Amino acid sequence: MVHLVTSDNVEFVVDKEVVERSVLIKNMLEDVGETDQSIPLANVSSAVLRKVIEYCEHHRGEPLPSADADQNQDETRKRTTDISEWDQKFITVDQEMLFEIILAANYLDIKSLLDVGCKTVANMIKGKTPDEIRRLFNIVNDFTPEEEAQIKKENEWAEDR
Amino acid sequence: MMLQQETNPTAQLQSLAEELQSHILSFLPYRDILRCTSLCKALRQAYTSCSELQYIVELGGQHLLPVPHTYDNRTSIFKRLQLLRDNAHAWFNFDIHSFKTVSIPVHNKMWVVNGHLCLWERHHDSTTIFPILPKPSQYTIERNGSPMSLRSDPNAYGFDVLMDPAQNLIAVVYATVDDDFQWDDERIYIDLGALDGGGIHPQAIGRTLFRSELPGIPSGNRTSTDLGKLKLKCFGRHIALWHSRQITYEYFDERLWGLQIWDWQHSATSSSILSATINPACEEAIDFCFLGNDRLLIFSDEMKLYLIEDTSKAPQLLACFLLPVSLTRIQCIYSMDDIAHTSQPQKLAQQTMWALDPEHQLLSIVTFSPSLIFIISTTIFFDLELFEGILEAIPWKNWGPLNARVFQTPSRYNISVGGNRVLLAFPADDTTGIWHSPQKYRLRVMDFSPLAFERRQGLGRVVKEPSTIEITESRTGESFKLAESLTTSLPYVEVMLDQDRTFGYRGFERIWIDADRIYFYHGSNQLEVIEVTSRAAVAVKHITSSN
Repeated sequence: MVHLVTSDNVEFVVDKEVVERSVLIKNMLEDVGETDQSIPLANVSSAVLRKVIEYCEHHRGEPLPSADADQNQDETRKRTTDISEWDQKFITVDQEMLFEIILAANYLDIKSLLDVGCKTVANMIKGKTPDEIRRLFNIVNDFTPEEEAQIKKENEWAEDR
Repeated sequence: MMLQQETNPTAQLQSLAEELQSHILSFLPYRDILRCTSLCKALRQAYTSCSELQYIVELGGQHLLPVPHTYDNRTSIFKRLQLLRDNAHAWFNFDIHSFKTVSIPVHNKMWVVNGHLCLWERHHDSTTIFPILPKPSQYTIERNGSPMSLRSDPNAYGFDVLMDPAQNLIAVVYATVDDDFQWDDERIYIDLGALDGGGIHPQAIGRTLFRSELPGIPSGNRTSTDLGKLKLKCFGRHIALWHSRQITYEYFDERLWGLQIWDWQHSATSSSILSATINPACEEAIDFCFLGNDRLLIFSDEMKLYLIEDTSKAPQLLACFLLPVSLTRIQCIYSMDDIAHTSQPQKLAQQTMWALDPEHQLLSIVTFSPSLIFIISTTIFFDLELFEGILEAIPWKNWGPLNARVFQTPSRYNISVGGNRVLLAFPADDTTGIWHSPQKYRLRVMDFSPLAFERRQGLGRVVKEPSTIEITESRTGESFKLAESLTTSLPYVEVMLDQDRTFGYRGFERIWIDADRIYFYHGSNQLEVIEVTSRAAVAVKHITSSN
């Protein structure tokens, strides 16, 4: 069992096999060896870690992507934003939590979870107009009208057809 | 004690770390990526500093797909992006007078596929394939073979040969002949082999594919049948054999055509068969081509699109596209070089980093009387939701004007289509009569990819406005339902080649284009190759500046 302490000081006790889906923690444990000391996760809150652990529990035992396979998988992956049914349900959270999960997955180095999060955001963007996307994500348009016109001109070819 | 959880200030799209923003965008199609660059400075920055995103946009804009499991993983994304851009730009700025020649042995049939020259000499039972001026990193096959040795039967007569270097496949269609050189047309077979070494192809189901009986042949009252041309075509796991025969009755003739499609990697027999009679009984009234992994198009008076996923069933008619004019002869011009497919043994593709997207290609149909060239975007054959409700007969006005360009052609011309480019060559002057081959040609390269409009950098002419042609041609004595005029508007960029090219006294017979070359076949023993690559463009510039 591994002890984790979140940024809001909540302690979690998790199976080693589960927590090792995080490459960060896996490497830490390899470096430190068996220990009863708890690992502080300064960047992750308890609400987010609870979700992350739920994800890791569900995917327990699945093979981790190896570093070599990365590049090959990368290209096929790009063509699809498919998300499995369980993951889809899991990631149906409010926007703030979604981005928190992405940040945590990135920090903890859980590639599959990072991809689920990023694909979800990509799916929210897909097919929408710039204004719709800005409204959806509260994005402030910080371009000058000149810059905006310039970008519009540069991207014109893709909007043509 | 639980602390009140604070909102993480970075947990928003706009304020995420740049690499996370890029990672999110990398899952999007290229149009959406570009749209995101106009949202705010942070996302724009993420795009401009990430070659991977620019690579996705470049591929999409050129209608290309990345090839998974690429052999060459060492070439960085940045390098690939550079290569793609340079190559696309080279097509706007190349020298048609700078070429190399390759001599060609005697043959009956020749064609260029995936940078290889394929020759077939029927009487000497020989096939030859070799790479045309091979490039250092290219996968190549070089072999002289005798396709008849593929066959178990020494008294066999070959009708057609197919060579596909991308799949290392050779196929020959043949019949057994008797001493009087007669054959029984029920005994026509296709044999398969490995192109590079002879022998059975490792992925093939076996050595021979067996034909099924063609439905619809009347047995009793015919007086004779005469076998016409046989055509073999292949794409990925599918091979098709097209043949037609003249059936002479007491009072009239008719022509029956049949097409059978096999999945050569999985079954030596198939039930994927189409057949019909054509009237007038002209075998050139019909043509066909594969379209991506599981679609087939039959061209006649209309274009019929079939799903051929399962070769144990008859092809399933998906849609019928009506043509605006009645045609007597039709030919489909469609290059399948470098088109992405799912079939496994794709040696060439392993060395390429991208492939053409079958859903966004051009195909061309050439018709005679009236003499027209239709350039059609293949998108319409995949986006069938556009035609919901009228699939059984989609009128020209619903698919044609926006997705095609139609050109009227002079009497002698040549055309080649590759990816999103079309090369048209026609005589530069009208002085050539029917007895002389024209020598002076004007060349027109047209690029229909969306990025061409951006990449041309001031070169080339953008053609977005609709064009109208008047059809006046008709044949006397026969009534043709001709449209008076055809207006089409598929946009393209025309590359300006302001010089004419003079060829030898025989002119030239055929042209091919691929991603970075133009091949002219001189109708003799020479093939002329123009390299359209950035390196060649640089070299040419050096030559011209030193002159």
